[in-house]
Amino acid sequence: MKGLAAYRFWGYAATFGALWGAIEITVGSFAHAIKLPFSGVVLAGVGAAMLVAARSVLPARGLVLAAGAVCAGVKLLSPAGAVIGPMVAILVESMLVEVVLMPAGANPVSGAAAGGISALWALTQKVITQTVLYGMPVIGIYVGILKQAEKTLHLPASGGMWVAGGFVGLVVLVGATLGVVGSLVGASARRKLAAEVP
Amino acid sequence: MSAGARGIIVASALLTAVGFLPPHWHLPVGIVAWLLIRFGTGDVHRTFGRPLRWVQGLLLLCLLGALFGPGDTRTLGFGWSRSGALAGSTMLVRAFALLALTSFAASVVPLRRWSAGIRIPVVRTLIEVVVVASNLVPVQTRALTAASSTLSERLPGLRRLPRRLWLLAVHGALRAAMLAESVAFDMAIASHNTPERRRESP
Repeated sequence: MKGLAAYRFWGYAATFGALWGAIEITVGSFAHAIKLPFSGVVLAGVGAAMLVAARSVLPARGLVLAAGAVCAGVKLLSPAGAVIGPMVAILVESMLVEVVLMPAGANPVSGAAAGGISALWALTQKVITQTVLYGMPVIGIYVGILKQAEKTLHLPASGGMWVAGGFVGLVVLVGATLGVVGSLVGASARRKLAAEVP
Repeated sequence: MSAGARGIIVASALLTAVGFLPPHWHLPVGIVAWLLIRFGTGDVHRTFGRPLRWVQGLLLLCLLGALFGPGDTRTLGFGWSRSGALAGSTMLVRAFALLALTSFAASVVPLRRWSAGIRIPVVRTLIEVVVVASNLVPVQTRALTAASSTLSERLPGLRRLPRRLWLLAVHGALRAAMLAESVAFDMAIASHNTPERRRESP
C-alpha cells in the first residue's frame, strides 16, 4: 500500500485508535477501578461501535485491525493499573470485528453481528481469565450461581442452562444494539463529510 | 545521572512502596515522591496534569471507597469504610507512579531511533502511529469533554440524554475523521522530508 491512500489509512487508524484509547483510559479505567459489574461488556460494545463507525467512514480493509493495534499500543502507554487484560481484549475484539465486517463492510446487520460478538468475547475473556487465575473451581461457583438463580426464578431444571442462555442473550443484545448505533453514527458522519467536501 | 533516570528511580521506588507497604503509608510516600519529582527532575512533571486535578481525583476516589467499601468504621453514628478510602488513595498513588514511570521512560528511551531500526515497514509504521495516537489521546479527550459540555447546555435534562449521546457520537466520529485527514497530510509531508531510503514507509 503506497501513496496518499496509505497515509489516510494510517491517519484514520491513529485518530480512531486514539479515540477508542481515550475512552478506554478514562471511562474504562474508572469502571474497572470501582469494579463496575459488566463494564467490560459495555466497553467492548462501545469499542465495536467505534470500529464499525470508522470502517463506515473509511471503507478500507484492515482499518479495524490497525485501529485496534493502535488502541492497544496507546493502552500500553496509559497510566492505568490493569493493562494486559484490556490490551488482549482490544486486540481480539478488533480481530473479530475485522473478520465480521470483511464480507459486506459496515452496515446495520454486520454492525449488530460485530457488536454482539465483541460483547460475547468480553464475557468469555472474563471467564477464561478467572479460570486461569483461580482454577477450575470458578466454573463450579458459576454453575452453582446459575442453579440458584434458576430456583429463584422458578424455571424448569436444566442445570442452569436457561439462566446462562438468557444472560448470554442479554449480553449479545447489548453489544448488537451498540454495534447498530455505531453503523448509524458512521453513516451519518460519512454523509456529513460528503456534504462538507465539494 | 540525568533527570529522566532520577525520575525512573523515584517512580519505581514509589511503585515498589505501593506493593509492599501497608495502605496507610501509600499517600504520604506518594506525596514525598511527588515532591522529589516536582523539584528534582526538570520539566517532565509538567506533562502529568495540574496538581489540583490529582487532589480532586484523590478526594473522589477516597469518597467512593469510603461510601462503597466494606463498612469497618463508625463516626458520629455514620458507618463508612476506612479500608475503602485507603484503597482510593492507593489507586491514585499507583496511577501517579505508573504515569511518572511511563513518562520518564518515554523521555529516556529513544523510541524514534529504535523504530527506525526495525526492518518491517508495517511494524515500524505502526509504532510511529502509536506514538502519534498517544499524543492525540488528550486532544480527543478535551474535544469530547468540550462537546459534551456544550451539548449539556444546549440540550439539558435527562429526557434529552439519548439525543445528546447520539450527537456526541456523531461529533466524535466526524472530528476523528477530520483529524485523520490532517494527520495523513502531516505524515505525508514528514515522509517526504525524510531521506529516500525511509520514504517507502508506510
